[in-house]
Amino acid sequence: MLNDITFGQYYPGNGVIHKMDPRAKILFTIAFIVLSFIAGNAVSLLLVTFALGAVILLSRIPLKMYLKTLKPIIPIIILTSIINALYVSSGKVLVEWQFITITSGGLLTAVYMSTRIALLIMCSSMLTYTTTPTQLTDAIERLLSPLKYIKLDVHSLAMMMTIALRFIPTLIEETEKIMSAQKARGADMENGGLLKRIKALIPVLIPLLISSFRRASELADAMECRCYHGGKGRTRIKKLHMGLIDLVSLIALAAVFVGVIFANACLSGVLYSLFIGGVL
Amino acid sequence: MEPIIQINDLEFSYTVEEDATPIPLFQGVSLSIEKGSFTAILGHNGSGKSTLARMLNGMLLPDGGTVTVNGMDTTDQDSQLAIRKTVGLVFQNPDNQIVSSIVEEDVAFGPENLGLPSDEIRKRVDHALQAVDMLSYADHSTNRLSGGQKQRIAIAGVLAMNPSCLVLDEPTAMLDPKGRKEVLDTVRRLNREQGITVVLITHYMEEAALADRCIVMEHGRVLLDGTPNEVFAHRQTLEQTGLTMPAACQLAYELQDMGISLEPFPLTEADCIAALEKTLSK
Repeated sequence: MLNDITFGQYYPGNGVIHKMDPRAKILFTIAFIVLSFIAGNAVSLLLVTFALGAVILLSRIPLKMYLKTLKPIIPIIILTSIINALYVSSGKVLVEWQFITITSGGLLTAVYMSTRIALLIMCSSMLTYTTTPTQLTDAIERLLSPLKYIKLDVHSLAMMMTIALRFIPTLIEETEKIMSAQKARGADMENGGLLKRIKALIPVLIPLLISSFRRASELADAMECRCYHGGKGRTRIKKLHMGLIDLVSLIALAAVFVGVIFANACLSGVLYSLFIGGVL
Repeated sequence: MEPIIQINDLEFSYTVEEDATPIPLFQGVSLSIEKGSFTAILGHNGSGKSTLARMLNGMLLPDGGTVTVNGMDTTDQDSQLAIRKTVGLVFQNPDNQIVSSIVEEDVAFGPENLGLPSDEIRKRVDHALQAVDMLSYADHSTNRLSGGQKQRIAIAGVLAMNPSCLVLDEPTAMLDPKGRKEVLDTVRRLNREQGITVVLITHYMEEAALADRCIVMEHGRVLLDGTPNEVFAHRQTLEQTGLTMPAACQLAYELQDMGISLEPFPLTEADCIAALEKTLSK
């Protein structure tokens, strides 16, 4: 059950996207998500979808891997779709039954919103699939480095993230072991109401917490033995540098951006795009 | 031979909980580990062998007496990094000493801490991975590896700092027989081919048989010290410590009781077969 978590995992590869600078990848991912929310009509949203499709092809990671990340968020997509369909009222009225009114505008918004959430998830899994956790934290460390001037310990923050990412699979494995052990002693985890099931988790969480503390202390010893003494004077095996790939992707991203704004403006009238421009 | 680690009159006590009276563990232990040697430290739980391992690179500091590594005192704060660079420590649980999710990035952790330039780190990482025969796994995820592979990565992580001495604290205790063999073969090869001093801490006598020198500890004291052959000859003392004999030794002892002595005294299965054949052909 817990093994289904694919989000946040690295998928080894040697494609163009793998070779991009992780800092550029983080910034582009954020820009892309913003872009998918700016896209206000079918054409511009399709443009964004095609752009992501192209990047997925370039990443040389099977499409199946991306679709897998969508599975856990299907309930969220359905829920937001229902809420959007019920609460947005614009355009033609399609269904009117007691207090339920579904309009064409509401349905459209529901479809747009679902597409955006799917794009958001796939885009961020692209980032984690093609970037090793260390590269990721390294990039975050560099991007946040201006915060050093307000006395924020950016290095420790990045190190904590690296270790957290490293221990997610280990702790999942451990949780499963403890759950089996407790089940073998007659613990009932699957039946009963919500409260009962939450209570049933306590005998799993306590041993997990204790063992995590032991792990943390052993890891700290091992890190000290390997000469770790904070971020001072530390170098990295891989230097980050922006290259041609990053420049080309910046141009591509800018082109999509212009395309989206253009599609928004042409199809929804100048006023609408001005409104969006005003919001931004 | 010149010693790499010198322990003189080591004293150490530990406290179980705060404000409790310290329990003495070491009361005047002296040992020296020679350069390029392969030493096994044997002992049961509570014999002080793991505490001793942590003394060797200054993770724990003596209450009395001295521990010196290449002439550097472990209590000297300024040589702390130099000592840890010289004596690499590998722990029991491979899962709890791997820092990064990617093999090569984990191996790079040590040299990165030493502040080496990127291309030097790359060279050392490749070299270390080669030495433990894991180079083809460089870009793999660390959590998909077997226990033996994880432990070899942990060894590579320490090797990348170019240590002259490797201290392994029960490195095989959590591994299956295949993983144990992988790790032991690696350690033995590093000792033979690269001249790295090895201190192997274990409670398996079979593993101690691989060493040039074998030290048996009990309650913080050195009980026996010598070549595996010399040490394994002290049958009664060993039996009192509760250590399990390798099957080959057990057989040889029982044959001895029946008046048949195997020559030379076998420590491993292969030796035992050879000795048996020799005795039978007489």
